[in-house]
Formats: sequence, structure tokens, C-alpha cells
Amino acid sequence: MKFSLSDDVLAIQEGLRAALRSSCPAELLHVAASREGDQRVRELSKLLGDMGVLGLLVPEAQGGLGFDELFLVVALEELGYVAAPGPLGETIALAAPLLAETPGQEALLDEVLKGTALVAYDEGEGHVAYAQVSDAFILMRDGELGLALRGEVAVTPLATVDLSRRAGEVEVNVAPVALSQDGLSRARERATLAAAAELVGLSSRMLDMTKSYVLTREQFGVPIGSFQAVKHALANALIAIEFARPAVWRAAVSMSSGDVDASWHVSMAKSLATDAARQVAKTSIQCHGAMGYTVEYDLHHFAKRAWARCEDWGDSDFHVSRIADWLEI
Amino acid sequence: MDLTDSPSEAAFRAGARAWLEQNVPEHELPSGDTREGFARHLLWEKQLFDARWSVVSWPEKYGGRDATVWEWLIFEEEYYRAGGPQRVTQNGIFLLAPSIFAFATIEQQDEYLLSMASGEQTWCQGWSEPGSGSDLASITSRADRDEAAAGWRLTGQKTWTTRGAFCTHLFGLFRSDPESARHRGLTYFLVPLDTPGVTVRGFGRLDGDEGFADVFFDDVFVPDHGVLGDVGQGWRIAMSTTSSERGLTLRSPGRFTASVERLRLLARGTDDLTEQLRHRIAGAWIGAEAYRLFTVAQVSRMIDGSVRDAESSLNKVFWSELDVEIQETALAILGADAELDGPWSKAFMFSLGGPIYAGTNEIQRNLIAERMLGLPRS
Repeated sequence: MKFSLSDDVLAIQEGLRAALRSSCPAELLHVAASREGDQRVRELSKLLGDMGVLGLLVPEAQGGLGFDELFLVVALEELGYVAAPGPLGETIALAAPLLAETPGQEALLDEVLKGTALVAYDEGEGHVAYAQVSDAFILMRDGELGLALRGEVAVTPLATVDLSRRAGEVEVNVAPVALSQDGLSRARERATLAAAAELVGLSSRMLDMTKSYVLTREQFGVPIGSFQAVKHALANALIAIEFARPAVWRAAVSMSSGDVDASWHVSMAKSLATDAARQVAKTSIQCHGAMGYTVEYDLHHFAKRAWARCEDWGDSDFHVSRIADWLEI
Repeated sequence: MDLTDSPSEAAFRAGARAWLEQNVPEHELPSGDTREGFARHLLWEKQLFDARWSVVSWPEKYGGRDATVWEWLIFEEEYYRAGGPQRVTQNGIFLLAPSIFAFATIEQQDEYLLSMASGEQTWCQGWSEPGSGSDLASITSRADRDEAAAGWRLTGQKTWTTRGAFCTHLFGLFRSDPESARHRGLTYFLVPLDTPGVTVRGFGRLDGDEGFADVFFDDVFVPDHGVLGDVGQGWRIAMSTTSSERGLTLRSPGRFTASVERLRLLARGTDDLTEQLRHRIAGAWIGAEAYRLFTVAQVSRMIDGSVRDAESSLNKVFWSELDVEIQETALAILGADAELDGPWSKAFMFSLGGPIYAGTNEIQRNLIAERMLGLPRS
């Protein structure tokens, strides 16, 4: 048994962390809220393309890195830590591998891997995150997977709580191009896992920000972090994160090793990561006091992204319910 | 990343499973926190010892199998899966022994370890006093030097001592330097409870079993070889023990995995579970799995030498609150029958001790905040 990241995974994590912390500052989240920021979001995705991150699950023969789900969760935790804007989880976990499995999509796959085309996912049941910045859409219509390009759909912008999500309603004007259905359930599980990993990263970021804040903010003549009520709230936040992360790793290992229970391991990971993120977001805002209740301070970007990702790919209730069915209770 | 047993781990697991299937008593033993039940449990401990399963991680010469941490975890998983009895010797084996291995002389190791492993000597912990619970460093029980007799004379009172009324020995902290304050000047003593001047009074825990005791010391003589480690170093030695108590050693994941499995069986035998209860049961299962995965990752960190300070406090808070949640869920399934005396009501009351003993969860959260998050000490 060994349940820790190997040196090569750690090296990749380290490299990605360094790149993202310099190229995705919180200021980018602010500009990403409007059309003027689209260019910056694209630059970030090109950087991720250069680093190979967008094709990390795509076989090497097709221009990807050919890595497994463990790399996926490590990368997504880092993307979550900086709240990188764009449909990155869906592009990496779902769109790129599906395009790679579908003959005839080489040109679009190439654009996706370079980061010049962003792909959003449309479940067909409401608004689509990042619809306004995406170049292509993976569509679920009548149980069939399809693909449409930006020019083939009409996007009606919708305002979202996390302004950088740039969502919209998507109306498809053409018959979508059929995609390989074989990889569908795996693609959904990967996307769910990606969201879970992102939530762990978002939670870690919020806790780090809050820790720094309570160390410097003084009331009654002392840092508020010296008050037991604050300490206990942050200790609980850390516990939630620490017990979610190994579950995310395990689901990744189960997926890459073809474990028959992988799907339930993914549900467990998403439920723990979702519960952790909700708790950490609430605690972080509370421990920032009035500062946390403004848009003048960066914390809100991370909390809002977390709230959105909590609901993507099934909320905690959905996944706990699945596990209850699986346990036959 | 590899969550599967290696060939040697698989062989170890198979050996443990086969022996436990053959030997675990078919009927549950009476509670080990009663005099009669304690005696019955000691017979079981002897049976474990004779087959070298009582202290798997210890060296062979002290009755163990030199098992790795992984193998220890596997044994625990199999033990609770097989429904193995409560380990009434655990406070010696899991709390005192790590300190004996780290701080005792070879003579002391030879004197105590084998008889601890067999259950011939049973140990209770003398930390708390009527005025010193979470604030352990405030203890006032004292050790006065008796130079002529080459030893110490102990005076004071320990309390909430688990199974103190049935054990043969006590390990405890006493103030050996009357001028000292707080954690300085404390010494760690190993005391046979039949020493003249020791009086033990058992009393009921929340569930009514006589699982607790007051231990009174009235000028009790302990020779120098009854001191563990150096005089005045008791605090440091005791802290090394409490981290074992909080962390992996006292509460291995196998317990909760088994406990949740029982909960699931209880649920399956119950009609018309509400959706809310189904969620709570599934949530408890997720919690037990999360605990297991956390400890597996933690053991990997231990092997890599990258465990963080105070990490064991994360375990303590998590398992103790998980246990309460598991038991409360069981009571909710039982409904009105939850008030009947039985394994679930007993387990529920027992679970309420978890967030209190081994350092209350309030203290653990302080430690997490101060040592892991770097917040200032209050």
C-alpha cells in the first residue's frame, strides 16, 4: 500500500502551481466578469495548452499527455486554488477525451489542446456556464451526445452570481454532430471528479486567505485569530478539507485502475468536496466579518465559484442518495 | 498510489482472518467494564497473545510479529470485521507501551512488555485529577523524594481512571519538584496498584458500568526503577503518549468501517426508512470511508516522514464525532426502542466519551488552529 503522490506527480503539481499563481491573479477574476476580459481568459487557456494541461487525458498519439485521473485531480485542485476562469474542468475532463475518441474531430481537438478553443458542456436542462466565452459545445439532447460550434448556436447571456462564469442559454440551430457515445459515462464521472478536485482547491484557497486575515485583523487589541471561536471555526474548515482530499485521490485511482466501484467513489468524493466547500465558504466569509460581505475584497470570487461548482455535476444530496442506493439501504 | 495489499500484506490478512474466524467468541462477552466481563476479556487477551495476535506491531521477543503499520491496520480491520471483543488491555498496549519503547531502560522493557502483551499485567492511565482535566499541566498529586529508600513517595488522587478498579498497574504523572509550575517538574511513574497506601474506588460511567475509578495515593512508595524516563521529564513522555492516544493507535479505521456495516444491517432490517435517515446512514458510511482514506494517506506520510505537527488532532476530532453520528443514526432507526438497554444504547453512551477523553475536542481544535494553521495561542 502507498497512498501519497509520487515524485513525478509532485513535480508536475509544483510546476503548475507556480505558473498559475503568477498568471492567474485574483485581479484576472475581476476582469473576467465582462467581455473585456475574454482575451485574458483565452491567454490563460493558451498557457494551459502550452503546458499540456488541456490534453492531459488525451492519448499521446493524439497530441495529449496520456496521463490518468490522478493527474486530472492534481491539476484541477491547482486550477481551483486560483479559481481559473473558463470551462476548464469540462474541457479537460470531458470535451478533449470525447473529441479524441470521435473520428473526424482532429481539427477541433487540435484547437482545444492548444487552448485556442474552449468547450462548454450543455446538459440540455438550463443555463450553460461559460457559454459566452466558449467556441464549441458538447450537448446532451435526448440521451445522445452531440457537438455544435459557436456559429451554430444562439447564446442568450444570463447574469450569474459568479460573474466570471459568463453563462448563457444555448439554443442549437442545427442538428448536432454525433459524438462517440462509448465514453459518455466515463466522461461524466471524470467531469464530476474534476469539479470535486476544483472544490478542494477553492476551499484550500479560502482557508488560506482567512488564515492570513485573522492573523492580521485586530479587534480588542489582539489578532482575531487568537479567539477560540475563530480558531475552532477554522479548525473545522481544515478538517473538512483534509478528509475530502484523500477521497478525491481515491476516486481518481479507482477510475484509472478500472475499479468496478469507481462511480460510487466519485460520488463520495463529490459529496465530501461539496460539503467541505460550502462549509469553508461560509466560515471564511464569517471570519472576515464585514470585509467578507463585500465585493471590495477577493474572497467573494472564490466563494461564488465554489457555490457554482457545488451544484455542477450533482450536489451533495444527489451523490449521497446514489450511495444510499448502492449500499442498498 | 496503490491501495491494494502487497503479496505479503495479503498473506498477513489471510492469516489474521483465518485465525479470527476460528477463534472470535460466537457470543458477545459481557462488558469489559465490569469486574466479571473484564476477567472474561482477559482470557480472550491470553488467547490472542498465545497465537501472537495481541500486539502484532511489537518485536517478536515481546510477543509481537514485528508487523509494519500497514499490517497493523490490516489486523485491526480484520479484527473489527470479525466482531472481535473490546480490547480491555488497550490502555497499556496502545498508550503506555509506545512510551516504554521510546523512554524505558532495557530492564524495564523486559519487566513490563511481555506481561502487558499477555494481559497478566493490566494498566490504567493516571493522568486526570479532580481539578485537572483538559488542563493536565495543573496536576497537584506529588512525588516526594525518599533518598534513604532510593525511591519516591506518592500522595494525591487520580480520577476517571478507565478500568482502574480492575487493573493491576497504573502509569501516571506526579509533581516531583514541589517548586515547579505547570508542565515542568513532573515525573512519569509506573505503579503496581497493590502497593501499600493505594486505595481504588470504582464508579459508574454514563452507561452505569463500573468502568471508572478514583485512585487515592497515601504515601505510596515507588522505587527508582518505577520511574519511566528521566525525573522531571514526565510531561514530554506523557505528550508522546497522548499523541498515540489521539491518533491512529487508539482508533483504527477498521472500527468505524465495522460499525457502519452494523448500522447498514440494522437499516436493512427496518421497513419504511425515511429519505432523511437513508441519507444519514449513507453519510455515516461516507464518513467511515473518509476516515479510512485519511489514515491510509497519513500512514504514507508517516513512512515518508512528512506527518505534520498535531495531525493526530484531526483524527481525534473526526473519529469521535463520526462515532457519535453513527450511534445517533442507529438510535433514530430504532425509534422508541432506542431507550431499551442493549448494544446500540450502550454504544451511543460510550461514543459520547470520545469527544471528551484523550484531550477534549475543544482542546484538539485549539491544537489544530495553533499548530497546523499557525494561529496565535490565546
